[in-house]
Amino acid sequence: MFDGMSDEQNSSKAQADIDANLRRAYDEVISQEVPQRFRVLLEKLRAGEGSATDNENGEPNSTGDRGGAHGR
Amino acid sequence: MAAKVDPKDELIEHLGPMRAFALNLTRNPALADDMVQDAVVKAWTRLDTFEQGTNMRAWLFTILRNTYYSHHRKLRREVPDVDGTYSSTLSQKPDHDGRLQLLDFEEAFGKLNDEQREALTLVGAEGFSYEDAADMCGVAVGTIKSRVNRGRARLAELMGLEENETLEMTDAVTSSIVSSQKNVA
Repeated sequence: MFDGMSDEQNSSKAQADIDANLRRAYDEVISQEVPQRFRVLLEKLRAGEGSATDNENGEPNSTGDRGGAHGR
Repeated sequence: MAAKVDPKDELIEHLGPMRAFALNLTRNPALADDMVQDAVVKAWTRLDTFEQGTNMRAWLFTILRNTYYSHHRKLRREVPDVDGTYSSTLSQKPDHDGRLQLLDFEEAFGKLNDEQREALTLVGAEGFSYEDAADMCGVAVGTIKSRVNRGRARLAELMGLEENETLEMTDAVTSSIVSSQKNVA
């Protein structure tokens, strides 16, 4: 695509390299299978809905052990 | 663009990118997934405020970054060794220079500040426009641009990519990684 590079194009080549790295690293994570905990979480959220109002800030959090997301 | 997908069904499609964004912010896989979990719960309780037809990923990312800045950033500081655990999440096939290059890149990326990592992820990796990224971060467009530019410049410096040095890697490396992923997957 780019031949005959000016200086500016050279620096945008470095930029393109950086962006290629960025995307590669990013895509690598995306291509991983989403951990089971998230499917479980979504199922719980759905199930919780059927059973009406209850918790705005309740604990749908039983798959995570950091029990502290209180306060808003 | 999916026509009328229930946002509840659509959410799952964004989990992968949410994890990737969270990882770029926290640089810690366990923390990143905790953060995604919190963000998903928050998003779920606010789904009625999501305007259908607008960009759900941007909406979710905004929630995600808010949980980072309000909560997880502090945790991140308390968790030692971020880089080691991060690298270990990358797939382990050392193919030629590609893998090394990527690890170098990760190390350099980890040295950027939060704002630069965030801006580069949103614009450079995820492909949001400067305007969208600025909206999501609640700053001016110019601010996002300068974060992106500084982040890129810093990365170039850390990776020894001088302006005139045009790394030959991109194509060859990318294709070797792609083919190795095919083998793995």
